[in-house]
Amino acid sequence: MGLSKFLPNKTLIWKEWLNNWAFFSIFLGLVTFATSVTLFNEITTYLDELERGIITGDYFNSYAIYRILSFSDALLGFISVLLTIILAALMVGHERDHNTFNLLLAMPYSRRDLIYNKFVLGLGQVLTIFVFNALVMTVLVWAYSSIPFPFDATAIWAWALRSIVVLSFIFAFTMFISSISGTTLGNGILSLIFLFFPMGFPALIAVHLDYWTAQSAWNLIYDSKEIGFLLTVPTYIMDNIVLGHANLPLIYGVLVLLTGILYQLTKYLFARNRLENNGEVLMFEQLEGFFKLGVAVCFALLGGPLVINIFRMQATPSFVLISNVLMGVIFWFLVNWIIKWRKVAN
Amino acid sequence: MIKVEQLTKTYHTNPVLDNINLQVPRGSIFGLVGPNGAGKTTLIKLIMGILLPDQGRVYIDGVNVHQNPGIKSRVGYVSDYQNYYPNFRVQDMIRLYRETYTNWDAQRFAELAQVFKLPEGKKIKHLSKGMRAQLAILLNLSVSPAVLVLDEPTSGLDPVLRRQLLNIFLEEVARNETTIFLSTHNLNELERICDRIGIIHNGRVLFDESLEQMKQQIRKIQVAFAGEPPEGVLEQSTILKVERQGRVYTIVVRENVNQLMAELEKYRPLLLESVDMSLEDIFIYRMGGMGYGFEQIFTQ
Repeated sequence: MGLSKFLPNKTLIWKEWLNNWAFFSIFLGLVTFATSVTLFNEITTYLDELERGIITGDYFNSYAIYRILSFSDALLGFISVLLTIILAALMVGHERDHNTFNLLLAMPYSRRDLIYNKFVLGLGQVLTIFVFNALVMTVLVWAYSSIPFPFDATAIWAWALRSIVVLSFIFAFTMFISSISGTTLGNGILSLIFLFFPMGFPALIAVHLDYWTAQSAWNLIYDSKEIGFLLTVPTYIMDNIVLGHANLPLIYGVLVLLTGILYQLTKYLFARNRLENNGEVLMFEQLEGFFKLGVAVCFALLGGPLVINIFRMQATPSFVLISNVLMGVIFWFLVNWIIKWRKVAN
Repeated sequence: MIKVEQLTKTYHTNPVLDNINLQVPRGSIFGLVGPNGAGKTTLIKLIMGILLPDQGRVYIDGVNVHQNPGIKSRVGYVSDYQNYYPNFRVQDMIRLYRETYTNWDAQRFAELAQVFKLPEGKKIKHLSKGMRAQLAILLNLSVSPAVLVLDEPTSGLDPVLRRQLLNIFLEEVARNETTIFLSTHNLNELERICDRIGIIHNGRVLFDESLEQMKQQIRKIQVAFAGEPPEGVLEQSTILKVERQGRVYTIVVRENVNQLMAELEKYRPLLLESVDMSLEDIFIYRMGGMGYGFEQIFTQ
């Protein structure tokens, strides 16, 4: 036994690959198009314009790539986050939707084998996408070393490393949610909500503090470095928020540690999954109360800001309060109905 | 050998299985019957380690299935609905099984492939229900199983293939001493191949006996006398039913059949013979005796 249990299972990896190669290709294609292909286009355009005398040799217009490498391009960051969530959500959701866990668990595989190999392939794919593009871009930078690039190979590899670390965490987080949620859609939506929840929840609180105490609570919350860093992990690759931070290695280290913890949690929860609940919103009935309350509270908090935003000065305190209560009650019943509907449909 | 001990399972708050105890000896065929929703598929999924029990244990060849999934390398499983990857081709499923099961028997696979003739290049989602069932049987027989768990394996198959398949199962037991656990609605199938039969209803096993034992316990006797039958002889407590057609009386007897035959013999009847009952008839009388109607169990 020993270390051999950490070796991926060739058959399970092949099976996963057969299921997700198309989606992986899309992911790889999009990132490659946004980075390597774009850099290559910028180089050929530069050389062409240089040859035609439109520009001089000391100016290289690499605005798009520079923005990506410095995490100022929110779009590629957001797309990468979204695609990673879908990648992980499909890995488990696809099995749940087609009841193929029944097939796998009737075979001589443990639940740990199934989850472990999904992690190996998923994280391997994220790694491949970014290492591949970092390699291509490094080769391009090296091959055209006469061009005055505003970045070097170190910046390229720092971008790849940071993307891999952040997206690995997001992959692990979505896998963790997939051990709780019973459908692909539920898995994806819950992962998105909870990944952005640390940013959205303080914002909701801040709006209410602003309104009820007439203080600038926004600043109170967002000026604080500690709370600032509680802003969601996805923003690490959508915004250059942590780039200049002195403790960057610590932040990366914590993320890697959290990824490991999430893997252990996923393994633990999946081993306790009642597969007869596949297709339901939650795999664990014990979580239903907490989940319903959480949804109701969040939407209750959203009710007030919505009214304030729409009606501005006409939004009286009682109107705001009623909106809060109303939204909370509506979503309490809605989430109840959805949970029951999925149970009946199952 | 399969051993099920005090197995209990609840879906949400509904009890589905209640303290199930069963034992299927090596090299025998056990048939499980019961109406839809009785808990057959749940019991099978628990035996296969797919579902987690609330209480109880399942052992295959003395090994706890839920704690040691490796034991399933010697177990084949054909479910009522084949949960295969819809985008896989037949050849992909063959590869998945071949690489998963270390005791994959390529020769057996080739033999069976001749019988089933499945299109290896076709995607699973384009196969009919019957073809999927054939694929599942082909794959699971090729893993050289010591135990074969079958949940409605012949549903969706035509009668010729169904008969062929039952013969294959019998051959498997004779050749490799395979233990078979079979769930079906078809009593004729059970009667043809099973050594032992269990009835499950509302999550409980109502009885679990060998077919031989069942047939010995309830029998039909046909008897004809020259005149009227002797006083009281057809009114014994072990006689469940008496029907008369001309001089011939058909008697359904529970227990002590030989004793009754000997007693009837004393009256020098014109005709006296013991006739085997069909499994369906046996069930009707057995279930009636337990307070269940046959329809309650088999036609829901």
